[in-house]
Amino acid sequence: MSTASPRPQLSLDELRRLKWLLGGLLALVSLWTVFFLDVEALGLVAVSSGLILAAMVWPRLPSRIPALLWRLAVPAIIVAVAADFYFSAETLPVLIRLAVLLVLYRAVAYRRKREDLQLIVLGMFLVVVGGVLTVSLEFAFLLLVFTACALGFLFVVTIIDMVDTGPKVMRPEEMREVPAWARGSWPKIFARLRRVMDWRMIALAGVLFAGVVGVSALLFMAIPRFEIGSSFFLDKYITRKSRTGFTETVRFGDVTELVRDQSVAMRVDLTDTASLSNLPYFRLIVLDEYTPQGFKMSAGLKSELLRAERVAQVLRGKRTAREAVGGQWTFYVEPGVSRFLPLPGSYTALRLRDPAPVQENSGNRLVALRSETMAMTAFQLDGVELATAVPDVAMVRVLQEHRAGVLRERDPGRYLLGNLAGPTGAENEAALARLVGEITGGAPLDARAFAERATAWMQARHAYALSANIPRGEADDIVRWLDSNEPAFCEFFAGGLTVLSRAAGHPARLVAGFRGGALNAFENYIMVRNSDAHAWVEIFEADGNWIRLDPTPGSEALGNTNATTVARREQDSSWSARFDSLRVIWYRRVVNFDTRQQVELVDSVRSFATVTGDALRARMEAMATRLKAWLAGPWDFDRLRRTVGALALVVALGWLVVRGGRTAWRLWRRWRAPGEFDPVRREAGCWLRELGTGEAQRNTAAGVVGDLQRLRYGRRESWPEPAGVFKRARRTRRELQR
Amino acid sequence: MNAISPNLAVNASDWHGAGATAEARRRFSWRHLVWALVFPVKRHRISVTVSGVFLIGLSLGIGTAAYNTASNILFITLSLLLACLLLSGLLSWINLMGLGWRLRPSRAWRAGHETLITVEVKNAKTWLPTYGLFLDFKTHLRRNIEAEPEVPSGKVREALAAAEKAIARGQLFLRERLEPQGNVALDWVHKPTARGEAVLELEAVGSLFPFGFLRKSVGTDVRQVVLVWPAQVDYHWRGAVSARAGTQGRRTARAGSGDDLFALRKYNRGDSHRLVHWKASARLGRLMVRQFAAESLDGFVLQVDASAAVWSRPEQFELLCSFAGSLAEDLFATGRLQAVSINREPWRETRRVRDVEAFWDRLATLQPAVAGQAAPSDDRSAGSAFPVINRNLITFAPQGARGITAYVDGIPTASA
Repeated sequence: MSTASPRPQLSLDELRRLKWLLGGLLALVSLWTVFFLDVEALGLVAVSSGLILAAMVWPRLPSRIPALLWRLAVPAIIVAVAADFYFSAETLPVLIRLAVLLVLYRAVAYRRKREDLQLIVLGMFLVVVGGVLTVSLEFAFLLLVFTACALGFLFVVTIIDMVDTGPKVMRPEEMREVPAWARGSWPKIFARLRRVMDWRMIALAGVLFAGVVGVSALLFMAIPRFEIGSSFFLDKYITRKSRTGFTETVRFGDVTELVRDQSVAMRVDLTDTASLSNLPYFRLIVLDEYTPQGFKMSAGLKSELLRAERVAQVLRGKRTAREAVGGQWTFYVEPGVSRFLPLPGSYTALRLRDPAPVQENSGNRLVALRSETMAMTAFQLDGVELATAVPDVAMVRVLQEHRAGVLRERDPGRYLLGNLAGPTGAENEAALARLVGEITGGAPLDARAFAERATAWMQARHAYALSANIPRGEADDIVRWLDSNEPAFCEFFAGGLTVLSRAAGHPARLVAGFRGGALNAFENYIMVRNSDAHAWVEIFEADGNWIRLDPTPGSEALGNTNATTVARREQDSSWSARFDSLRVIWYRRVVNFDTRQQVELVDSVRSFATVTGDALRARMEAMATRLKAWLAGPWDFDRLRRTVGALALVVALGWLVVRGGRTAWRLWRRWRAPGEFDPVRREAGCWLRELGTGEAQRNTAAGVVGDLQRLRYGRRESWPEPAGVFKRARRTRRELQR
Repeated sequence: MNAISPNLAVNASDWHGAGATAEARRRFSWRHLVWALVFPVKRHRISVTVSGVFLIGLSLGIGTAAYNTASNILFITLSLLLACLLLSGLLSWINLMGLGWRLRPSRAWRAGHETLITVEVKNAKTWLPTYGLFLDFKTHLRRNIEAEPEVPSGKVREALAAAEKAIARGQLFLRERLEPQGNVALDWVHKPTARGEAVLELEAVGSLFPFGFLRKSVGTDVRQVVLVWPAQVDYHWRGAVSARAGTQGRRTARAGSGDDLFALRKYNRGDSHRLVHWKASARLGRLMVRQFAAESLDGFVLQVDASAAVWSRPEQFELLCSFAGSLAEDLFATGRLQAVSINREPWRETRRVRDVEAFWDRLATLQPAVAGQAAPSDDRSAGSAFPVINRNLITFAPQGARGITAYVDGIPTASA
């Protein structure tokens, strides 16, 4: 075989070495997606990554492993996975661990074509599962890297396997032999790759990859969306533990850990941030039952939520006469925050991305998903009002019936009486009675007035701190703390006020959620961090509303129903905020992309095209009108001179730009490959193309074509005078044109 | 006689494919391109490989999951897979753009001998190289493929299988990159099994480039007819005792060690000084030596009678052709073959290799002649300047059901 190729090419062994490298990278990228999943496989992934990396760097390593081990590897994986299935309660983590083990096995073993394809499929499984379960921005990056690796890998595999007509799979006995391709050193391979690389090929590969990304983006937007079903199968096989402590039980001290966590818990995207003069309280969970360790959601409230469970995509709220703020609120809640949805106030509609099992309780203003999802949870609120009062008709009825002594034992609302129950026991009750008396001074006070005094009393005795020091004693923690002068954090203040209110006979409950957040300066949305976690109190007033009260020092004023005076709008323009804004773009444009947005996109493209076309036409018409007016103007010698001068200047500049560009191009070519570039040969080639190959042209230009061919292909010593030949070529072209 | 002589001329017009001429590239238009995408060009084939089937299956699975769950992540993955498939098709199309190919002409093949079939491929693209080409060849004997298959009606599959058996197929791969404006020559080693008129076709030029999902090939109309000479056979020669040395010492047309001056040639190192032709050397200004004609040993003439009445068994007739060809080759190699004749046609003198090859050409296509087809002539020298030969005439006759005996003037001399 002979070839006119002047550039070196990779040999078969070098290609196999490159395949090994790309296969290892592919496996590593796919394994790293597991880091974004909260499954118990991180240790396995770390060990597997180390092994793959070692095998990548030292390709001889697999041959050192005895054949028996290779034979036992697959049965061992099967046994391990069977045991894992037996002992594990969840299915998906087991499958992920299985995929990790298989990727490891395939990546560190020598492979043939079928095994190469298996590696790609296993890697893809991990990437897709990771992406689907987390919908994180990192997935987009890893998917792109994986695609690039997979395409390069497939390209090399195709080139190699064209000539590899042997067996399609690798036998364990073959693993003992060190393949020829594994014997070289990496520096030599990289040096060779560098020699073989061509900037045109790299540029083309880059353009093509960009093309793939662009085409897939177009396809993503253009693929028609209609739902066949809405049940998502993967998340049934995996559950996630709450990271922030917003479960049905919050122990004293849980919030301390949270306030040190600076990661973003949720993002709130408002269509009208200008109308929001303060950052609201995001209500997550109501804790109505007191326990000596902390507060928790009562069983009655839980069962009420369960009874109200239904599959829905849109939940309707009540419209009130007050003005809505913020326009449309879109929430992106990170996985692991809570199964309860954060609500800033009342709303007219709550819209989920997909129909899902939802639990709703209007009296407590709670909305929860049946279970916590692995992925980011997105939902929208319309007509949001930042009212601090939560009307509760059931509470009014239960209280009235309770006071009248007619409340049935099995009344479903009986659990609401738990809002009156505080610490029990003689010591607790005595201490609380003493403290309440100290606060009220023996005067009968309504709920609001009591809360004001109790808050002032607590803030006078206790300072704010991120840790609490509770004195020893027999009473419950919260009572001992109230009876001391120790500083504490929001949970103690809220718990203390709740306990005091209940002791004074006023129904009260502890509410946990987020307060505040920072406005992202780049994409104009609210970033709420885990450190913004907060606890406050809702006290029931005689008018049938639960009123929000925040007794923590430095929080909003007590009973202030319009929170605008306290919260401040903090803007975050740091680098982390810049990166975080990318995530919101990903959520807005990709994760939340649906049929509605698809239609909007088509409409916007159509309107953009129409508007741009109209604007262009109007501009052209205006230019034509101006040109006509300019031409119709009086002409004199001076104007003519100026016009001709300007035209000549433009032509000269254009000529200079073209000439300069060509010269720069030639200089660059000559600098890059001085041996290959010859301007005379190049110009001769241009003239040969221009003079054509037709019969008539050949006859006319017979003489000059011979000389041009000599200049183009002949030895330099045999050249005629180039300038003369090119001059004759120009003359011949004129003759041919005639 | 040279049946394939027209094929021997190699020039620019032998190139086929889109890159064969510069004009072909200039005819590009977007209308043609779009139409070609909608309605593929004749003989352009795209088939899906196992990997491609797998990719399509994977896309379908992910697509179903995406629609089932409305998960945009799955839609993204589906979009990427579809984009990869599109890219694969596009690159495959670009890869085969501007390719030209031609078969280097083959003189003739010999049954049972390996032969090299060379195809040249060029890449007329200006910027982009071509990767991973494969070339599909097929060859068959003309009479095999053109004969009506004797298969009972209704058994098309068997008929096709029988026809396929007569076809030899081969594939060549170009693993290396074919640079823009570059060319490459690839060799296919083929071993013809039977004599005859073989048809060599370059069926398709294709590629699995870039990712092995699609197998795109462009059918070609490159076709060449090549004669396959009979195979060499082993035979037992008893000529030393049977042939009469009537023509020994006869001058031949080859250089040798006889007495007659054959030609003058340039002096080579090691030549005897006695052989220097001084007059010619003086005239030409350089040393010239005399070359003498070789003298033949016992010369033979070989006559093949392909009468169907004599050669009723096809396999015996095939053996006759191979035996006659082998005998002619061996006799010529030892300088003892003087002339040949087939079916009592005029004698043809065998002075040069080309004369023997012409004899093999005839043997390649020789068929049993039924009565009246042959042109027997009593005058063995009719139409030939060769003198009348009365001695050392080799003829052939069947020996039993399978064998053949060669007779020299009626005396059994060799058998196969």
